[in-house]
Amino acid sequence: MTGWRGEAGGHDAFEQEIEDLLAVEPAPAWTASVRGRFSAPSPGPRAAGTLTWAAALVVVALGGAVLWQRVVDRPPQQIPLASVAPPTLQTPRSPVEIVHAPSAPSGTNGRSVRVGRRRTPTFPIAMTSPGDARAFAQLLETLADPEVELLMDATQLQPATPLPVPASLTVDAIAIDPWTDAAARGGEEE
Amino acid sequence: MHEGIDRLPSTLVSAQESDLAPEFEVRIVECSTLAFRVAFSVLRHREDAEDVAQEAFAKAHRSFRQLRDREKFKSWIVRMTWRMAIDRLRSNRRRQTREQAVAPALVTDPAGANERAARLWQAIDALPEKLRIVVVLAGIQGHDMREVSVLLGLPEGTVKSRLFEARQRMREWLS
Repeated sequence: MTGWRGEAGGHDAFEQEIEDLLAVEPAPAWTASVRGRFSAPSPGPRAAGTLTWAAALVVVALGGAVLWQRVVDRPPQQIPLASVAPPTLQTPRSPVEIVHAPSAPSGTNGRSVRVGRRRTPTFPIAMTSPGDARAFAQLLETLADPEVELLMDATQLQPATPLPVPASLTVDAIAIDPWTDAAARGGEEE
Repeated sequence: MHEGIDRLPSTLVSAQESDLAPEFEVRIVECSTLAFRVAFSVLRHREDAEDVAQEAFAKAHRSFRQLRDREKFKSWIVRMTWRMAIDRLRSNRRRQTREQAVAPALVTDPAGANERAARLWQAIDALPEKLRIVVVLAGIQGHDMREVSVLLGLPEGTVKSRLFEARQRMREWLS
């Protein structure tokens, strides 16, 4: 060992002990395994990557084909009648709004007062004025009264008698005076 | 014993680098014993040393295009093996601490059974890392100072002074 010799001037027993200590041989099987492992050609990363991409493409193509087949072969959908909502008549909500402005209690002394606001229930009939609303409410009250009996004139249910149609229709000509300046001035003067 | 080799991914050897396979095989023949001994000097455990050396070769194989130079490869594999062995040793110690192992599993080689050898190992282990690797490399395969300086990428004078200091400390330890 020249390193030890060069420094110590001789290959003494101490240096030889160190050499012997480190002279451990690896197992021949290990050396052979490592050599075989790194010298044997095998599919590399590029080939493996190509295979992976090819497999991914095949999977995607198969998935697309299956999806397309399902879309094409799908039977026309029949919607059950029960699931169809019946047509409803949309009635406008009543624009009538009753606002109760509570009178300020005597003891508040100008403190903030919460104003209650109540929206009347919606009616199926549009009423545009308070007069209509009052009349309709009165009618409902009358109908609810068991002592009130509604009578209807059956003759009024007959269709109205048509008016007599003249045999001939004559249109008489009318004369219109021409417009003049004098007439115009007279009009202005008037 | 060599299950670590079987754990290697098959992608380590690439088809595009198959032309480098013979050259890499030559490097393995040249450096496998050196790498194993470097790892063993740290780990003192044959199987662990083989695993670490094999892992170092796996890493070298991935970068072999940059390591085709003979001296560069040898230096790289030595330093990589040393670093990986240090990491493995620390990992083993952490695991032993966790498992609270009673038996010192690291000293299982027959070389450590001898009392004198055990004391020598203790003297080497007592050295700082920068001195220890100089002693180990100088004690392996008859490396001289120039070779050690090339392997470590250090000036020859630095290697000489470190080797002298290491010898002094070891003698003091053993006496």
